[in-house]
Amino acid sequence: MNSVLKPVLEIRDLDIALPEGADRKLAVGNLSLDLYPNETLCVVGESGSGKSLLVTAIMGLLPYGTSIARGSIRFDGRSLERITESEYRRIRGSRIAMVFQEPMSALNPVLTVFEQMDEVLRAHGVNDGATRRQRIVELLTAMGLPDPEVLQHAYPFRLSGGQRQRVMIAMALALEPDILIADEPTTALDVTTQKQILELLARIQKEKRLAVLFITHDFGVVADIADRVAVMQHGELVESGPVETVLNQPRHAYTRQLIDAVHGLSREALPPSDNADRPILEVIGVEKTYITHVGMIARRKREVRALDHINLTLKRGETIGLVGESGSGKSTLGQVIVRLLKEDAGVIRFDGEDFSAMSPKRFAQIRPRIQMIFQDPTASLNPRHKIRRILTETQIIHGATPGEALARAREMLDLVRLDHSALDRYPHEFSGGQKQRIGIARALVLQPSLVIADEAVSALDVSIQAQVLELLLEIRKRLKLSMLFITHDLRIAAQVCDRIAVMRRGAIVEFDDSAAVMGNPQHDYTTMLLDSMPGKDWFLKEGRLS
Amino acid sequence: MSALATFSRNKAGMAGAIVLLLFTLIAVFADFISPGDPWRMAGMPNLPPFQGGFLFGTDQLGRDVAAGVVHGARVSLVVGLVSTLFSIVVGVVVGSVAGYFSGFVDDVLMRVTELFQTIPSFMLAIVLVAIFSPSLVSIICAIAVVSWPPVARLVRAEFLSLRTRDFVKAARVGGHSHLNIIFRQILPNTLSPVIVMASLMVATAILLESGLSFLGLGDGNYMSWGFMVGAGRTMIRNAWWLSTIPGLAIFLTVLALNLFGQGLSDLMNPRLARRRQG
Repeated sequence: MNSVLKPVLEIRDLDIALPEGADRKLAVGNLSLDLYPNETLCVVGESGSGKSLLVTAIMGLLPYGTSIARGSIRFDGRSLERITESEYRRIRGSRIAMVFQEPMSALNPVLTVFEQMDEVLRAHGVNDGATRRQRIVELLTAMGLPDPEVLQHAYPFRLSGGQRQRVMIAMALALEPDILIADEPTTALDVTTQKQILELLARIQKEKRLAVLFITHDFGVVADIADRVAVMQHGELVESGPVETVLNQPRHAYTRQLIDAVHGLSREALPPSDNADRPILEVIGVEKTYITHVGMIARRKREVRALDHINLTLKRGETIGLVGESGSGKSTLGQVIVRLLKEDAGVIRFDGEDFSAMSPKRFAQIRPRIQMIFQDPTASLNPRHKIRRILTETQIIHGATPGEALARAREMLDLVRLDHSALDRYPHEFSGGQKQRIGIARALVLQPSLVIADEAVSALDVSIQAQVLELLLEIRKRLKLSMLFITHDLRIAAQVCDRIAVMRRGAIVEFDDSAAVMGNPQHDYTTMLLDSMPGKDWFLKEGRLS
Repeated sequence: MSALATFSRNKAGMAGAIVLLLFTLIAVFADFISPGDPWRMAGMPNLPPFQGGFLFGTDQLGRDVAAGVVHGARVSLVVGLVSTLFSIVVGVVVGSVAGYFSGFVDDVLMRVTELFQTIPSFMLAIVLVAIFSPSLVSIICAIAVVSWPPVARLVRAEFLSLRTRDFVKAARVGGHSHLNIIFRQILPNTLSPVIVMASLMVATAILLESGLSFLGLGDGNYMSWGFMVGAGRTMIRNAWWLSTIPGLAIFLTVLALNLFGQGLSDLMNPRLARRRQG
């Protein structure tokens, strides 16, 4: 059908130049792409692939210093790179609309939903107030938002992440655009919410016969929503074509790598852990409630049950996955186990010893044996310290001589495959994946027996994610580590964990061997999580998902 | 080295730095530039500038105004620097402890800070100097006492955001002591805004000292710019130079400090740094 239709957006030989001194000359090089009416085109790439700059170029919002060096973007018979700013303003929002990744920062926090949508309509010439009011309610209803009459007068912070994203989509569609650009619209959302938003976008696209340009890094999402796919790497288009062709017969090695990241590593069976041995960690009936006080004078208490009677036993050398959506309490449990937080009730035994019965001195001895790997590789390294200090300081506190500490730091850098020259550099000189390796080295340099990995790969690009996961698996085997792996992503948990505990609203709803949880879930919520995994249908059909 | 090079490209900041350097040299070599006691009578009273061999003229008692300005630079700069140093130390300690521990400790420390902030600072300084009798030490202490609260607020705010960062959690999981985390992990990350604030506080301290001396609450043993402005104010109609020239000295120093502080602030702002490169 595409051969008969005329594209709504034609990008030809596009070069986007970066300012001098950037790591490469062109953010986007020699890119040609067509977008047809009534189709969803997914542009897939990782951070630094130039996909976001491509979008800003189409919207005419290129940041200071970058510019279109060559080529053209044709829309509706006009070359967008040549029109004036005031002409652009008439196109932006009304003809080409956009949905952003982070719905909280894209909505103005001090205006209600109604006020923000009203402003969009008014700015584009819908002058009659009654018409505007009617349109807003219609749009919010079409987005599947509950009780739009009431919800339209709410401020953004009152809405959930999914609701905010629905409001963003409603605003984007308010003026019936020809093109909807969605820049990673579901990346910041939980999987179950992501599924709903993807379904909503797919439905709207069909109803309005929209042309949707969907930016993502996740081939699972691509399999769910795309008609055609374009894969970008380092600013260049490496592969494009209909979704079935690209998924079934990827031609480019990079495309294969991205697709592989979805269905995961092939994993060899782990040595059975010794049941007779004393477990490394026992969590018995642990509870934690957050109490926040609202209001200045008449203080009201708000209680959130973060952990509700948690029982968990981690055997020596075992890895347990703690899976749940945001607010499920999985991170709280991790922080309670490393003693960053204290439980309200219950017992935690580490290697047979009760934490709460320990003297501060005994606890100080145990401290280095429980370590943590953090989510954000940038925030987890002190920006003012060189890697040498980051890797040795804590060892010296625990009694190592500077010489010993340095020797172990070197050993750990070898283990995480970083060069020894890293010691004399600052964190900002490393890439995200490298920083995460340093974070892992810092945790392991103390020779812990238990490691808590809190979303350790979530902030990384999918191809880097695979490398770091492989590294973690290898290290775990070599050092016989026990690990608690906290993640929101069942796909990742299934790759690295022996057993998986699914958490919801502070409670463990299902706890079983990984294969059992993935293959034969017992709890409805686990089933729902599994169903929400993007691209599940396609990958199941291919028989590539265990 | 590169920071120095970048700073030298900021014209206003450089101008401020040069003027400051000039005043510092004058203060250090005051006895050399203008030997002898600045309080002694040097010539005929009320000589206008450039007459009788006096650059800035003489006052109603025949004292050399130029000598007063040169020696007054000492008091102004010493009071400015030392009181700022004190208030930075107090502010940093209070702010970092409050921000790091938060909760009850934070509540107590911040209420104390607010107590100081709600009293007009100049009034409090006057009262303190009056009670402890005017001397260089009591003036410095009084200025330090009224100037630390904003530092504490700033440092606390920085700590509140930094303490939740993962690298602080990592240090806690690693078993670092609270003291170590506060002073060796977090504090170095808060220093850029504190240094900028300090440069501006020196200016405020100089103004406070001038104000106190103007009201006759200066140290009688030392010539200071504020005293000169105060002593000359009754003669403003027939001997304008008596207040104007030391007033100009105060104005120039404070302006230079502000320019210098602004330059430092631009230098330490990473976002501006990126724009400079771009």
